[in-house]
Amino acid sequence: MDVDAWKSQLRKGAAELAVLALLAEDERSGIGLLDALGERPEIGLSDGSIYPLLNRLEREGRISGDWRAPEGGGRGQKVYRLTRGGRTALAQMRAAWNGFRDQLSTLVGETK
Amino acid sequence: MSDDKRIDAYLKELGRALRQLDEKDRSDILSEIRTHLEHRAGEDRLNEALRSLGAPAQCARGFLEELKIQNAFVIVALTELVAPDAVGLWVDPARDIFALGVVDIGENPPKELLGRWMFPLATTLAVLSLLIGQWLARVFIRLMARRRPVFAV
Repeated sequence: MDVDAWKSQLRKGAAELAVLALLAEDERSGIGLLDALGERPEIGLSDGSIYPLLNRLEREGRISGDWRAPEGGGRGQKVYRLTRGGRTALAQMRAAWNGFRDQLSTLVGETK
Repeated sequence: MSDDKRIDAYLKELGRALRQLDEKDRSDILSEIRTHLEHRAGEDRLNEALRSLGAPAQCARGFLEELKIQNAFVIVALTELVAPDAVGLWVDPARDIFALGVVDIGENPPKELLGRWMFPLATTLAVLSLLIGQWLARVFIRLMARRRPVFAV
């Protein structure tokens, strides 16, 4: 069975929730998000997938990005934060995720 | 090739692959990818970053696939025909809700403004985006046809 294709589908929705949850903690750039996600490879966000996702979330009004120049000079970076709409979406997604996880864990069983 | 030249070459190709976006969106994406690649080059991880982004055309596809606006309008118009209650323009300023399209609005729904006008609106938007896309393609082909003799010299 092609588990990779199934995992890819599983990760699509999870990546969005992970990005919103990280931005709820603090504002971050694309690199900052990748570094924060670096120790969680199972979430499956890569250099290639994070920017299209951020681009879409910004278009949908869930996050907003501002170009900021670093204090020591040099090239600026785009820093993202959650909008009010993004916070509402995150709260709803979190509730949905918790219900989904609890029910699926009961069904599939947890192995430790 | 130096890191700077590799980054410039990658962004040139990416810009070409994103040409269907408007100038502002394209330059915003290119600036962000440039920042990303320069940051990774500073960490001596440029090869890894380029591999992860994929070829410029593949990287561009990631952005373009998130922008299937025209298809979304068609889906909205068709859903209006089979499940009219799921489609509409929902507005509730008190709860900060503004939703246009196919929405599972749940209990205690906000006010729906478009009613049966949703189908003509979504159809018009779908047709308009198709016509504008075709018109832009024709203009582009005409411009390219005019430029060909210059390339041939």
